[in-house]
Amino acid sequence: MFKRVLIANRGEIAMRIIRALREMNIESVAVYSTADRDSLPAMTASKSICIGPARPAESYLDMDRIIDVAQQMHCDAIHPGYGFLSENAEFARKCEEHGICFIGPSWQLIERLGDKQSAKKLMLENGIPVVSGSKDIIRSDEEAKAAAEAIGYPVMIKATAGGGGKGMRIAENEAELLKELKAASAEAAAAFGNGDCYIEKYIEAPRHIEIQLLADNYGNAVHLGERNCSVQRHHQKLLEEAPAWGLSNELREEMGETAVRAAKAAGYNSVGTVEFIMDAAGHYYFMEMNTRIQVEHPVTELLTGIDLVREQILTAAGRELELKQEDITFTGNVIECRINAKGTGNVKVLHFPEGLGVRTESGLYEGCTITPYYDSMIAKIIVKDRTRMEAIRRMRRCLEELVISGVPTNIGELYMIMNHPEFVAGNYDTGFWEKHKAELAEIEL
Amino acid sequence: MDEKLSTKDSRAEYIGAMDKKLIRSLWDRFDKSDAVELVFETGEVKLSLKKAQSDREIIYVGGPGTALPAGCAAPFFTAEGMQQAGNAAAVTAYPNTAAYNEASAVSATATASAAATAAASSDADKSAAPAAGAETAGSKASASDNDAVYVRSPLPGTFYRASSPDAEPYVMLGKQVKKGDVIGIVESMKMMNEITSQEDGTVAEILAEDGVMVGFDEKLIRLES
Repeated sequence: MFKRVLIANRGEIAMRIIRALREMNIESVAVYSTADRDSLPAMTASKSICIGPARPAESYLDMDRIIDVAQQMHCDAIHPGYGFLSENAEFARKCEEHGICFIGPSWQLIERLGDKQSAKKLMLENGIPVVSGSKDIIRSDEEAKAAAEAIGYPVMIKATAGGGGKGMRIAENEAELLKELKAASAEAAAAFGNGDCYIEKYIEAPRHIEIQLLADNYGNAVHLGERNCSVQRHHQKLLEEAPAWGLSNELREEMGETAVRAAKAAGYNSVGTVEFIMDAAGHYYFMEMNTRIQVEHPVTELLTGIDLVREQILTAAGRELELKQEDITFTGNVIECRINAKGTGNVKVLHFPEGLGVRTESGLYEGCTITPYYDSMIAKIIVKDRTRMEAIRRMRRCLEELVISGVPTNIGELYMIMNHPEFVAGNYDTGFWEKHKAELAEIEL
Repeated sequence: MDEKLSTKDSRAEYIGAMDKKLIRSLWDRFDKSDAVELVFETGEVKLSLKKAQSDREIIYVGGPGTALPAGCAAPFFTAEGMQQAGNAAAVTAYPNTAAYNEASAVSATATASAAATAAASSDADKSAAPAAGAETAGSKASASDNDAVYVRSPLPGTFYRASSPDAEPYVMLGKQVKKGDVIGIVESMKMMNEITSQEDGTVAEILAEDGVMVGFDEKLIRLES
């Protein structure tokens, strides 16, 4: 078992890892930038050391520096957290070269699954549906018709150089196809100087449903259920919940088994998440795979009672997975809200909600400073209750109780979501925030 | 003589010289308890029962009855961590560090002395002096930090006072230093980086220890003009 682990991260996830390590009698080494000198991880890790200035490139992203510190401090492993270097295959390989265990999948897996095309290829090889699309740029009307025919209407025409919604058109049938193709191409050519388009299946009312996986180094893998992450603002998750409303047990089992099958085929190890996009009829398609511990892992932890960070560390240390799929049970309903700072400041008053079924994760303390250099998420509130409605009520109470004064936050907006009839009904999709953003305009709590 | 309980042995009332009912009764009570080992000895017979523990528990929790290594009995808020946290006011405000560390020190010392392990002595020292750490943080902040001139490390690494183990240290207390003079070495990525002073002055304090890791921007020496 590891004796000392370096945490190449900061904030709430660094605290999560420090706590897990401490419970395992493993020493922790926190590396921090000058901006995080007064941070909770720096104060609570067994050892902590400043590795550079605030700029991530010169501190949290400086691979060679981090590995050098790990070696000089006699660390046998590095936990990369999420973000930063957690999915950097080069960093994982450098750790291996220096005889330090990278707590995550092998660098080859990160490379293979990080590349969207090769990941999709792996999924297809294992009978996992992928968002179907034309393989190449559409060069003629005939090609367009044939591709759309093969994919099945409705289709989405996407400009390859497109972005921000430009150069995207939907065609419901062949009649619309050629007209929309021309329009999309013209728009893209005008905006990006490149009118090349390809065609993809259009998923109506998509939901973002992801499956949590856990695997060891010996080919054993289990799934720990799904999370519904469809409440997103500009593709950034605002909250996550499990189980996903309306997902039948059969579908859950099928998706879980599917994800496990893909993981085993890839020879996956450590924790990971398979992201699917699901349409209103319950058809799901592989989107991408995240080869790291995720922000929303506490949702699954509360749902299953399994400590994912501990399991991740155990499997990294070479322990065989003791968990069997039949051991994993799901109870209750869990919701997580991400608290984001909307500006910098000093936290003058801090009060976290407490009580049965309430969990908080953050690096905050009264008097701490929120700096502009890093991700804006400063805390997570996770609640669990027996039913979904009870969990929603509990989250409302928690958001009412939560006090973070001195820094503007999105607590008000989250509270509005918790009270929005469409969210409460459960049948929302990734278009939810965009559709209702005016109604969700923040209130002062 | 050791006897292993045989549940399949229904032939005799006695196993060895022990009444089967007695063995069963001991077995049941042992099974329900937290104990991991039971040795029962009469004049003629010795019964020894042992529980197989979860592998996981042994490898990292240490199993019931095992003392923690002294290094992990250190307070949650470490003396070292508190000391380098510049925001002393915030640090003492949360949670109530002095009292907390004092209470932790008492329990930590008790645990440390109970542990039979030969853990690093530096960790044992730390767990005994966290209250001092909290005070040091305060006094460091109140000292005239702005007036003092420090030479700080431009990178994290191991600090050395001399160019080699048998060489003379670059500086001693009281030495006159000119801008550009080498005052020590920080080893990083197998390279020895010479650290030069940016100011003229006299070495008033040597803050970094020879052979010990220093962080980015950490104070190495203090100069007085």
